[in-house]
Amino acid sequence: MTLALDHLGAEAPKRDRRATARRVTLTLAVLLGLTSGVSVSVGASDASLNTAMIDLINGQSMSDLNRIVLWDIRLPRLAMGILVGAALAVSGVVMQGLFRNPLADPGIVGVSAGAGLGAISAIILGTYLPAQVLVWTGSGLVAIAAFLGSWVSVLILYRVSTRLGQTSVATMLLAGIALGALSGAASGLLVYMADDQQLRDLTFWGMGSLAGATWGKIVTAAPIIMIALASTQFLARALNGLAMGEAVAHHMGIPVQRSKNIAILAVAGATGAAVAVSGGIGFIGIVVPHLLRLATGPDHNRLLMNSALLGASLLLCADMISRVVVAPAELPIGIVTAILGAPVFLWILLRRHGTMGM
Amino acid sequence: MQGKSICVNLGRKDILHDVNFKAEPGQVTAIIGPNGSGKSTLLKTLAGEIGTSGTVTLNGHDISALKPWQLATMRGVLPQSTTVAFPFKVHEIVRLGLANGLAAINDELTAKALAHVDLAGFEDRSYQTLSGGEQQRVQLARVLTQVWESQHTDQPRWLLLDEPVASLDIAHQLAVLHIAGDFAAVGGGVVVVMHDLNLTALFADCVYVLSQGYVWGSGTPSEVLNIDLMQQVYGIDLPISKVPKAPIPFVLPQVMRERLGA
Repeated sequence: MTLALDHLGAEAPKRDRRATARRVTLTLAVLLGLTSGVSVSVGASDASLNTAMIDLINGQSMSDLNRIVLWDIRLPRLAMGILVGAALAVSGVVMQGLFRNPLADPGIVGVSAGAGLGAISAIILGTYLPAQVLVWTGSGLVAIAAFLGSWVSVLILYRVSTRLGQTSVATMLLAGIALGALSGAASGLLVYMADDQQLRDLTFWGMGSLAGATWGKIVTAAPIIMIALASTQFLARALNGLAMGEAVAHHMGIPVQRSKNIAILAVAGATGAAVAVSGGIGFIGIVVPHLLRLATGPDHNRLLMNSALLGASLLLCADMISRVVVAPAELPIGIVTAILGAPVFLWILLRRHGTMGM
Repeated sequence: MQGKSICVNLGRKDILHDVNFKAEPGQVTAIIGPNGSGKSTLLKTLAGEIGTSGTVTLNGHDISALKPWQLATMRGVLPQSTTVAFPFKVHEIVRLGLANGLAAINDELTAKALAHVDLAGFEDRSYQTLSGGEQQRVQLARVLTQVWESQHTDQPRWLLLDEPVASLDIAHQLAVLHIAGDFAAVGGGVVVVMHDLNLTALFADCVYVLSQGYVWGSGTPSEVLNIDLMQQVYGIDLPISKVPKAPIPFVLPQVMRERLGA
């Protein structure tokens, strides 16, 4: 009798995490829909999709103000929030899987620092560029430079830590710290050269914001982020295997080196593009995957998709808070994500402390 | 499975020198030798994990020409110990051994594998909270799942085990080696790195003795486990006898205590 009960006890919850993960996907998709709707309606102006719909139904065309607010400000902001939130969260998942470290983050391997150096260089040294280049790049110069910075740092990192086709995760982590320090030092030197206006720009870029969202920026960032996110969906099995180490993953038939290459490129693309258009938005990449692992376990099959959905929703919520608390001014979103994220991160650390020996 | 002229150097140090190795399906082939003799390196080379200037052939195929997934259908590898970075559950770890990983649903096979390693009912436990010996058996269940799943082809499957009994109690040491023996008995091939000479003598059909990267001897346990060779390789005089009525040698270090007069 006892045996049979034990057996049932072991059987019943077995499929739960897979089923839960599927339910979570649905819930998160609905949540993202709701957050998107609210996000479009919240702000200094009372324009909303609702009023726009009512206008349309009543046969009136939208007022110019409403159209500008919705089409030129809120919708691009919504699209960018979804893209950046998904990109940061998925980059976190992939990075953590690759480094077998639940606390790893694109920030740790110097990708964000590289992007920062690129942005700072553009803000301060951009004035020395030929006028032609400035005209051609326009306001996107900072974004392009940040993207290049993150890309170059990943390439250098990869060069340093890959010997004979094998990437050593430990070397990569340490090289990332060194690269991050180097980028930070170079950025610090550049800041000395900055004038007052440039320092203001730097500060706001560093805190991160979706306020600068334009359709133009989205057109540059979206394809890169979409390709990166789509390619990570093929990495689920590899990342699951890599959780037991590269050797075991190889024994299980996973093309380890190719998977690592894809993972690194995807992270560089997604993080680079996200940081480029939105500045330093932290904690999404660490908090989102952790919360989902607590809820549905570490299986990457659903974790990647769910992280993208939750990351997008979370960033939209943070963006709404940043728009509302000091309206009509706004708080940089990086401050909001840090205030929301840092305590969650600490809580995760404390929880892990007992069970994982960390 | 055959390895010819295997030379491996890691960094500036030569680990294996011109090792020739042959294992037959249907047999348990053990690799023994002192710490640092190159046993694990040889196993990793046979697994295709480390490159070599020589050749390793598995079921007649040069393994360097095989894709990782092709290798995975022919052999499973159990490392000395496996840490898992995230809080996977036991049944999830075992399911990772399936070709489709966690996306696959084959609870029957995973349940059978867990029961095989005496861990039935552990499905829902968190891997990270298990003892070292239990973790090792979960990993063995994962490896068994991997090789069982591809059993339908007519080529022999291989199990490569690196000190599979190092962290196990005596009952589970015998149980795990019985699993290896059963696997060989139905036509599979087993290559196992061992430290315990008595268990080696009991379960191995063929033994390779490695020291300082060279093969010092190979053959049946009674051919290899002799006082001279053990003295050469381990540097101590090991008293070795044979079981009455059976040609199985055994090592009895307790005798040394008498000899020392203690």
